[in-house]
Amino acid sequence: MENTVTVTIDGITVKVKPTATILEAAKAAGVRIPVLCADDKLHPYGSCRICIVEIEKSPRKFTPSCTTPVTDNMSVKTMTPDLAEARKRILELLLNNHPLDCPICDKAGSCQLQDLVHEYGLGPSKFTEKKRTVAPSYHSNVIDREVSRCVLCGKCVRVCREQNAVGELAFTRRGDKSKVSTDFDQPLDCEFCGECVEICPVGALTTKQFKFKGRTWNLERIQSVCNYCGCGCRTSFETRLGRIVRVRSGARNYLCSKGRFGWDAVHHQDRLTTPLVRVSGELVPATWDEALAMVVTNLNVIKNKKGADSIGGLGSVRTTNEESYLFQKFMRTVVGTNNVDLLARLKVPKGLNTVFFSGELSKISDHDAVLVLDGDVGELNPLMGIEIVRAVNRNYKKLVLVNSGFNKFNRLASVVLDYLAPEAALADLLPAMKSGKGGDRVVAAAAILKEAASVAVIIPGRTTDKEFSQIKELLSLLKGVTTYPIVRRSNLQGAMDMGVLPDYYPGYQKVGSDTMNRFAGSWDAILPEAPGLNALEMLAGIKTGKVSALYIMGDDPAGSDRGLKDILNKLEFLVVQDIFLTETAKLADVVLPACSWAEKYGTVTSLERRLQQVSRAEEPLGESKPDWDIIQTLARKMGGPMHYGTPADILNEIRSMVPLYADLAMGGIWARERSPLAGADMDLSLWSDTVMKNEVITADRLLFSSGTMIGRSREISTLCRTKAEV
Amino acid sequence: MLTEEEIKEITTELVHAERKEAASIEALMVVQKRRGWVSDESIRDIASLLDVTPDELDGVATFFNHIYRKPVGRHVIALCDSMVCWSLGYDPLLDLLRKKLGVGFGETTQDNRFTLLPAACLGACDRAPAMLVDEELHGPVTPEMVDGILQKYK
Repeated sequence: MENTVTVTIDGITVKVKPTATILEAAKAAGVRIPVLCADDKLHPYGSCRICIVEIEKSPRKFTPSCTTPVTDNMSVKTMTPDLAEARKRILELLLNNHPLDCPICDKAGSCQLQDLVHEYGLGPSKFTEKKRTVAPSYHSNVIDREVSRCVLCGKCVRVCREQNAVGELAFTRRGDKSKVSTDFDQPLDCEFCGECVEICPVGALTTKQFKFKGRTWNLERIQSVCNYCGCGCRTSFETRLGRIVRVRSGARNYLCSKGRFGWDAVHHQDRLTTPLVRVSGELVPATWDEALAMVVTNLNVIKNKKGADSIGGLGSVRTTNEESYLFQKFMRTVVGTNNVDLLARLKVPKGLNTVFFSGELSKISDHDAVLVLDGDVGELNPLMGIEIVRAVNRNYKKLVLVNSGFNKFNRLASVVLDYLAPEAALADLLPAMKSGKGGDRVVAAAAILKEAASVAVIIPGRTTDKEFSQIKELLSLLKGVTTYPIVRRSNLQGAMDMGVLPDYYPGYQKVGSDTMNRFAGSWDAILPEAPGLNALEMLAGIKTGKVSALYIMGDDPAGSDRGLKDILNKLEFLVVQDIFLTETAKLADVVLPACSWAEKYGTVTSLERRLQQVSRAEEPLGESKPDWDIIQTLARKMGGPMHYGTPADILNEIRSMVPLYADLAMGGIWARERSPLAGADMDLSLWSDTVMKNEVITADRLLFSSGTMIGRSREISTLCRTKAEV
Repeated sequence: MLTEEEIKEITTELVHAERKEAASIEALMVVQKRRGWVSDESIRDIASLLDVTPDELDGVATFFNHIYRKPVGRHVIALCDSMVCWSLGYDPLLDLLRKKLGVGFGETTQDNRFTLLPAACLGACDRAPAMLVDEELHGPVTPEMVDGILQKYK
């Protein structure tokens, strides 16, 4: 084998890439070398010297293993009495300035410095100098900096710069005065992803949210999935006495500000704890029996009077796959209408799931070039943004950026196409791709794209018809294309897969007589034959009297678009199932309290089409129930046969009904080729020039802005400098 | 705000830099040459010109002794503060400077004529004790020479 070298680590011989460091080779050999400043995410740095090793026949006594590349037939010892002594001395020097305030440090128990000192032991120190003390900084909204605890490993500085491309932290001053600092020691003003806190080996960076909330060894950890955008990052809920106290990345990968800090919406005081029914104009608390009886009566009355098709259902992107599946099944089999849809389809990239399927996010950086058609990608799908940064900073790939503004990607891009809209950029780029003619920048961009053997293309979350066809044309000119449509809404993919669509059954099986018979047989119900109204048609139908009742599960149209209030007020009957008394719920006749995604089990499907498990970290609040349980109880009261013990039962039924999910393992991705709509020249998105156009903006940055949940996160709301309402 | 002249001069430096941030020191010196020191505002302005964050540039600026992040007098005295100078007459020299100028390290005289700073090290051990005034190196400096040297700088 030409491209490997043989290295012996503590007597264990391994073959590794010639570019590997000794530390990486040791990992391959299964030998642990202690580290402080090294991290898989970051370039080698070599500041702490804990990872020193002895190399046979080397003129150097000790060599740092994290920065030294291997050579062929190198023989390395990672633990000798001399090394142990040297590491002990290094720790002694580090502790010299360390405040040793472990009893009040949030990091105690998961502190790498503490662990290493525990491992190597310490005798009395010869040094008697006073400890260096640096004033702590508590004036940032979510992150505290206990600067005296810092060991100057530079991990926070590097993760902020290398992984996030933010560069909010840097070393300032020098020598014994050097410290990690923000610009001019002002409060942090960044993306507040908290990656610096996560990567800090000591307690120099901590979160306000977790301060004094618990000791790490007392926490229980529950693996789940983030619910705040389509990326579907794995999270770990950390609970103490049954209550969440912290959320961390479950895959040790990345979490953005919403994912890490935004969970506190779950504990908001405005959570609904009992059902509410409207009695003489006012919403008053009621029992589940009363509330559900009111729903049953009213839906039956309207169904008998005006027909099932005068009732509509709007599903949610915040609910699990099982709940979305049950919701459409309820509408189709119990209510008897195909009027079931997602308003979130207004925010779907054109061509998603037909022309554009997302690749795996972690593979963005494998492509030779990345073409970003929407510069806001880092705010809309933060993990996608991080992977783009990784492509440039870690894998040295080329970035072509279309951006009307200026943000962190401008600094990374090989070429920036500064156009107001992708349409204009593509109008210049396409001719440049074909003929090589155009302005300097488009020609340079075209050259990069043409030269690349593989290109990752980030598709904007919204595109006009013109842009849609331009992008398709551009893709045909590129080699090795993988598309990455921006999907801002969390479980949108899952909700669409589950058939919360008026013209498709679960698994994109078109509503028609064949499929109808099949589903009717399995569901043991009579199904409506004609496709239903889509979300926009339902809203329009309210005005014309065609739609008299709506069942809204986990969506807040009136909160997104104040103009919809008047329309929803025209309904004869409105049921809203949500975790908060949203603007829409305030208009409802019956409000059913659902529990949050931290309080239930189920699965969700990320924008990568990856099936992932959501797990319960807390008991449901008050009388709130999981959405699936509410629906099936209601269905039973209306005579529909729904008897599921757990969400797993529902998933089993989904697997039997939806070929895409039939043998999909947890964590697996369903293959695009298997979708009935793959390659079809059609569009699952909705487009409206009026509805949701006067969207209520809740924050000054897209990154901190979101709907029902994030709007109620105390932590995230403190990050917004101004609260704007448009 | 950087002046047009400053921007032009920094842009000229960029030609020699493979990456813009490589010209950080030069850019800081361009501004310091004209203004005597580099303010927070200048750091921000230069940073946006070099596509780095203000914090990263401040890290560079605060690393170097001869980039001044606070206003200094018309002339800067850097007294070598290192071992060879210590053993060859640094103490009486510092005492005398303190007395004559009425300021200590890091301070500027009332008439804004001199700022006194420690420098470790000037690399002029053969001329210890050494002292740098603006860009002119003096040494070995004896207490008797101090008046004469200071007189040269108005």
